[in-house]
This record gives sequence, structure tokens and C-alpha cells, in this order.
Amino acid sequence: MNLSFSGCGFLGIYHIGVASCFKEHAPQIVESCKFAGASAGAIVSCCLMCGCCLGECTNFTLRLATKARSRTLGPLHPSFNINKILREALRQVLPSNAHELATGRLFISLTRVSDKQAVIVSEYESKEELIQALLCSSFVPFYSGLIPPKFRGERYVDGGLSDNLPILDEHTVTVAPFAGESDICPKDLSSNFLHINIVNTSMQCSAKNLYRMSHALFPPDPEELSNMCRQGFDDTLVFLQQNNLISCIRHLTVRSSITTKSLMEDGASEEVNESVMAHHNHNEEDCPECKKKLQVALLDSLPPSVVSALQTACDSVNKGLMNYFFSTRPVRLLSIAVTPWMLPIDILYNYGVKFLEWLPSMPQDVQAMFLELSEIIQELITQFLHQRHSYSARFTCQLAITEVKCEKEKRRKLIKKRKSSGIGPMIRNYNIGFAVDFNTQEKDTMGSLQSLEGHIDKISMEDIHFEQRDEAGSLSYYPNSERPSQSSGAPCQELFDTFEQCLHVTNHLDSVLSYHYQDPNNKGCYKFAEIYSLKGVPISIPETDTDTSQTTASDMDLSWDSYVEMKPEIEDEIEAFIDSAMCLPDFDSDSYNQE
Amino acid sequence: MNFIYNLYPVRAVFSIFQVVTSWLTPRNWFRWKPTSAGQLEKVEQKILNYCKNLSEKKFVPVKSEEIWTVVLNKEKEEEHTPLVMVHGFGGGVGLWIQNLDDLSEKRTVYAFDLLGFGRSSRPTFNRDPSLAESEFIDSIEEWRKSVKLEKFVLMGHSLGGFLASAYAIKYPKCVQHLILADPWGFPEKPPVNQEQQRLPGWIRLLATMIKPFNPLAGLRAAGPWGPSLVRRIRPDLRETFSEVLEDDTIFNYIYHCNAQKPSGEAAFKTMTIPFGWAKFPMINRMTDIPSHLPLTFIYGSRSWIDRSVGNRVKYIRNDSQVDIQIIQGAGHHVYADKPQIFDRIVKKICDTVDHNIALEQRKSQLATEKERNIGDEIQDE
Repeated sequence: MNLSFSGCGFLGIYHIGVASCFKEHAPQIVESCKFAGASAGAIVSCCLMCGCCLGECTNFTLRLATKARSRTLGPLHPSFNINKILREALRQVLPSNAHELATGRLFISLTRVSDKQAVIVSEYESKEELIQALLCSSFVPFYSGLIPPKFRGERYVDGGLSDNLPILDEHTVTVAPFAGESDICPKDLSSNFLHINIVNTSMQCSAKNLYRMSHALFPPDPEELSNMCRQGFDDTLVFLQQNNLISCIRHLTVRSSITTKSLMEDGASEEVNESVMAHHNHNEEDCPECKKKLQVALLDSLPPSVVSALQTACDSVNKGLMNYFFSTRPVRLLSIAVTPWMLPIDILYNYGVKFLEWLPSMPQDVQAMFLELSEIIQELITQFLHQRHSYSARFTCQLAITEVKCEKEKRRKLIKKRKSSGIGPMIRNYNIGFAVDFNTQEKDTMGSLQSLEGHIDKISMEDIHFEQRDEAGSLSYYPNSERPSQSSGAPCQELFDTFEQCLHVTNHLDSVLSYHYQDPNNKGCYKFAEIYSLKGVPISIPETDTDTSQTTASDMDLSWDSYVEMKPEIEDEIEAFIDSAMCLPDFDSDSYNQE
Repeated sequence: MNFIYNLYPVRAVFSIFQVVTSWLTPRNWFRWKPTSAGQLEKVEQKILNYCKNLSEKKFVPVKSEEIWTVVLNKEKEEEHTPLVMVHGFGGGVGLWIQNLDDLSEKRTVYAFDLLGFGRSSRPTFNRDPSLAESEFIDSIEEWRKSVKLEKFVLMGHSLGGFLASAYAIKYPKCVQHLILADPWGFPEKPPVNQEQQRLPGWIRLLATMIKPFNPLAGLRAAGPWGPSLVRRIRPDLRETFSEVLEDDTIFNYIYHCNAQKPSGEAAFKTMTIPFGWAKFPMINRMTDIPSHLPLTFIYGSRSWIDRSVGNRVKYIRNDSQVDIQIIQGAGHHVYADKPQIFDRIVKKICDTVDHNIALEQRKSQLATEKERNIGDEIQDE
């Protein structure tokens, strides 16, 4: 069984209630399970795992809440530096070997700033690093500060922004202070169907949940917080009872003995284990001690240390001469009247102090901010440019290479082999076609083609196909798209080599025939055709190996083939021109076989 | 009239007429919500493609309306007691997808869209809560007559559970066993307590402001952003249905189910007190269900539905069989969260029903034989 605590800011006090109940009534779970959490949940689970005094934690949370409430702007007041306070408190409260305890058992959910993805860390080299991870996980942008803290050289923010309730495996008990579909959560008496699921935390759309959410970052008064703590304790008790997890000390020892034995001697202790388990199952139901324990649990509430912490916090707000003085009417009126004058000065002073504190780490942070800003601007620009592409165009190209071979020796051999059949020249047709879809700003076809020139390496080739036609008329077809990335030129090197050769040829030779025309159906479409004779020009056409042809392409939706199919007239036209230009000799198509 | 309507050409002409008139209405020229009955049909088709035992899907005419029905494994109708499934609020037949095949392994399974939900017709319901409720129930009864079901196990989830219980109260004759999966509408609305009074003013103001709207009005108001809204607020559903459906199918299905005319939803609203409490809670009416009818509650351990209701029903109906099952780790959508466990429970119930029917038949057979024997003896004498 694993425990997962959700992130929830100041409502983390609910988690403290849950944690104290687990510690009190199901210590066997706390000792053996793994913990996961985001922000406040991570801090509480860390404290629970390291065996910190939970009363102290409660105390600290309440003090923090009171401090946050004491200023005019609440936690947004510049003098309230939550990161600093948290860091000091964690340093004080966590044991020196906390990182050893936490490694492999505490899974902290973080959000990476660079790509906004959820990251879960579970290994810590030192106590400082663990604290840093906890602080990263509870860094709410703009609330806690402007510059996110670093963990192992990478900047992270609150895990609650990407994965608020990390799930480790199927047996993860989820704890959340919002009424919803978590294992341990306050059960509101509500019958509303509407349910939402924000960053992995299920929430019912109820007024009380809204109220709770509004208090996650702006804490309510200590009494309200202590109520939440108590509620956490009670909800956990209900959960433990429903799942029969409360048992007496004897059964606890039995349970722990199982784990130690099975760890020490693997296979040999199986028999023992079984008997122990049987014994344990048999006894739990009518063991008087277990029953007594259950009954005690029923009447139990928060442990005394937590209760006293809550009590003192409540008292500190309501009692005392100072409080009495401040709560009298004239003083309150005076403070309200003074606020508009004092606040700017206060803020200025605090920002000044903050700035001075920030100076040592300024260059680094400025650099980071600059990088972040430039990234944002770049993204905006690309988005803007993307939207400006108001026309989409398609550039298709087909290279039909007809190779005529008249190798006499081979021919003779073949004749020998098949004496009856007369064989003419070998003819191979290569049809290399590709289509490029791209967005353009210009309406004019020529203009858009020109703009394509500059961006050719950014455009993804949809599909490049390679086909070989033998003389018998059967079409063997080699789609090259089984290669994983079609976008860059590298994987299609072979083909591009052919293209380059073709380009070379076209640049150096005069075409036998060249023409272009405007498509009568589509005014915006120009068609070009050039026919070259390659007699005496060294050109090598890649032999397509059968291996590649066997593997079939997975995504052939928009292949050249289908494109041609859509417009059969193109194929016909090309065919006709090749035929007329090359003046193929008539031959008996039956008598050919593939080489 | 019905007979004329069933003639194919008349129907075709009528549908063409409908299409033409829809073109002529100015409201349809500009569409704010990207939804239509056709789109819903397409998405549902995508979902039902997964289903292997599907034998029929059809609109069953019920009075002037139609109820969309999916029938699985129709051949087994004679052998075993069929199971009828009623979906919950805002859902449809498609949500059962993970259970349909498994449950129809041995028996016929009927799943239908409630009147005013899913692909069924969307009439305007009565504004009176009890009349609206009986409109639902009567439509189910009419539907039963149309598909000629005599004995069946009735299962309802959420709002379907409420309506199934109401149906069992009014028409108990054919129901062999009532299965209520996380049923809604059982407990009474608790009196307004102090804690609620203490909520800050802005929250109470907000609550009063949304009171007059239908529960899912926001989804329709979101217009073109509706589908992505569903994806945003319920991303967990993708995980739940990931074994069966790809990517966004389930979100689209839920969106198209609810983005159309809110008829069933409005009826639901008339049947409730804000927010989500039944006006006539079922807990007070449980004794109206005949005591011979066995009941099973299936709850999810994480669900927000008040589970103590099950125990209270057990207490109220101490003279009849009431069973409560809790599925660990499942939320409100018990059947989708833990389909295997849920199916196992339901199949077991159905088997017991079969067994009991067989026993009874055997008994009555024996009794008639005995009578005949006695009659023969008398004749002999």
C-alpha cells in the first residue's frame, strides 16, 4: 500500500490530521509504504516518513498561516517570504539523515519549467537537496516569487500544476482535502453530479470545495484550519476502519515479523509465513485486544501534541492584551485609515530588502529570465507567422526516368535460356514522385514557390515514392516511407542523390523538350515538364533492393500513388509524353521478364 | 398513423422534408455548438465497433417517441433471464462499452438511452416533478412492451438507479432482481446547517446565480470550446476507457450526448432541489417495492454517493433480500472503473436469478404433476 498526498497549499493541515491518524493507528503502514506527494502533500509525507513531531508541524503551519494573515495584503505582502520560512523550518525539523530515509520511498512531483511536464523525483543525495526538491514542489509561480528555484541545475515549479496527485501503482491510497473521488477526503453531504478532475485531483463542484480552494493559498483563521486538521483525522479513521487496517499490537508484531523473515531467507520461510498468516487471519476478528483498539479508535481524536498546537494558535489570536488592544474599535479604525499611507512605504522597503538579498544571484537569474522571455517571444512570433500563412499550396514533382538497356551479352544469355522468346531492349521506368504541402503568404503560385525555396529544409516531405516499372507492364512499387523520419533529407539520402544527379543533368544539358502550361481547370496551378536524353551521361540509378519493398509503409494516406489516382489525367499525360518523346520501339510485352 | 409512418417511402419523404426545413430555419445557419445527431451517431458507432456480441441496434417506437436500443446476444433470450441496463445522468449506451460483451456472454443484454438522453428522442417533459418522473418510467414500460420482455433483471446506474427503483415500484411484475449501481437520489436533503451558512457571501451569491440553469448549461454555452472543455475537466475518463477506446472518442461521445437539446437534463432539474438532491427521495419509498423483489446495491469505495443509504434500506426492508457490495478503488462510475469485478458481481446475481426461476418452474411442474396424479387417482376411483 502506498500513500499519495495531494498538493493543496495551506490546506496541507488536513494532511497533518491524516498523517497523525496513520501514525497513531496504523504505524505498520507508515513504516513500510511508499509516499508520493506534490507541494504541501510532499512536505507532510516527508515529515511523516522521517518521524518528525507532527505537533511541531501543526504549530509551524498555524504560525505560517497567522503570519500570512497578519499583513494587509495577506500572503502577497512582500515581507512574507514563504520560501525562506519553509526552508528554515525544514532544515530545523528534518533529521540529518532525511535524504537516506527518503531516497526510493518519497516520490515528489515537480513541474519542469522548460517544457511544463510533470517530473517525479525519488533520489536525493543530501538533506539540502531533499529540501530543495520540496521547495521546488511548493513553489507557486507569482505567489511564492517570480524566479523558480533550481533542483539539480533545472528550474522547477509546483508539482500541483502538472500532476497534483501522483499515483505510484494500483494500491495507492489517495489523500486530498477536497471532496471528490479520493480514498481519504472530506465527505461533503452533497448530491451534485458535476465532477471535475483538475491535474489528476477529482473534485465535486460544490460550494464547500470552492470555499476550500479559495483558502488553499490564502489561509483562513486558525480555528478553521484546526477544524480541517480534525476532519483529516476523522476521515482517515473511517477509512482505516472500513478497510480493517486497525489492529492490536500483537497483530502488528505478527505483521512485521512476516516482512523480516521473508526478507532474510527468501524461499525457506514460505511455509512459516503461511502459517503465520493463517494464524493472523484467524485471530483478528475475535481478538479482544483488536476490538478494544477499534473501540478506542472510534472515540479517539487528534493526538495531544497536535491539539495543544492548535489550541495555542487559536488562543494567540483571540486572547492576550495586545490582541485585545488591536481588536478595539478605534485602533481598528485607525489601522484602516493608516493603511493607504503605510502600505506603499512598507512595500517599497520590503522590495528594497528583497532586491538586496537577490543581488548575489542576479546575473544567473537575469540570464534565465532572458532565455525564458526570448523563448516566449519566439513562440509568439512563430505562432503569428503561422497564422499569416493564409494560403496552402502543394508542390508536386514527378521524375520519370526511362532507362533503356541494350546489353547484348545478357540478351544472348537470355535468348539461350528461352530460345523461343525474342527479347527486345530492357526498359526500366523509374517514377520518383513527391508532394510537398506548405503554407504560404502569397497568393501567386510563382511567389509561393519562391518562398518555398528558402524554407525547404523546414518543410516535411510527405512521402517519397520510388517505383520501378518493368516492361511487362507490372508495376512494382517502392514506398520509401517505412523509414522513420521523412522530414529531413538524411534518411532519403539515396533518393536525394538521384535527385541531385537529375538536377545536375538538368543544369548541364539542354532539354530535348520542355514546356509548361497552366491547368485549365485550376488557374493557380502551373505544370512544368522537361524531357532530357541521357545518352552518354554517367548517371547511376539506385537499385531498389527487395528488402525495403517487403516492409510495407504504415502511413500511406497521401502517397504519390493516391495523388495520381485522384488525378488520373496527369499520369496519362506524362505517359503519353514519355512515349512520344522516347519513341519506344514496339515489342512483344509477353516476352519480357524482370531482371 | 403508426402503420403509415412505418412505410418506408413515407418515412424517407418525411426525413427529406425534415432536412429541408432544418435548412430553412435561420437558427441552423450559424452553429454555435459543434454537434448534431449525426455526429453522435458516428461517435457511438465508433464505440460500439468494439462490441463483439452486438446483435441489434434500433429505435424502438414508444408512443410518439423513439428509444434508442442496443441488443446483445439476442439468440440466448430463451435460455437465460435477460438483463436490462439503464445509464446514468448525461450518459448513454456507449458508457457501458467495457461491460457489454462480458455481461452478454450467457444472456441477452438490453441497453437503451433514456428518454431525453443520448440518441433517444428529446421531448419536453412535464414541469411537475412527479409527472416528469412517471414520464420516464412509463416510457420504460412502453419500451418493455415493444421489445416484448416478460422477465428480466433491471440494473440502473446513478440517475438510472433512481428511475429503475421508481420503475420497480410502479411496474414490479416483470422485474426479477433490481441492481442499483451507485444510485442517485436516495437520501433526503439535510437541513441547512450552520456550516453552510458560514460560507462567504460571494460563494453563496455564485450558488444562487447558477441555480436557474440546467446542470450542464455551461457545456452548451461553451459552444465550439465544448469538446475541449470535457477533455479538460474529466481527463481521467481517457484513462478509464483507455483499454477499449482510442484518444478522444469518449470525450466526444459525452459531449455530443449532452450538447444537444437538454430535455432529459431539464426533467432531471425539475426532479431535484439544488444542488442535486431528489425532490422525492427514494429512501422514503423503498417500502413500496414488493418485498419479494431482491435488491443489490453496488457502490464504489471512492464514490461521493452516500453509502450509508444502502444500510438504511437494508434496515427498512428487513423482510426482504438486500445485498450491499462495495468495489474497492472504484469511483462513481463503478462499472467503468473496475469492469471485471463489477461484471462478476452482476453475472453472479443473474445466475442466481436463473437458478431461482428454474427451481420455481421445477416446483410448479411437480405441483401440476401431483395434481394430475391426484386427478388421475380420482378418475381411477
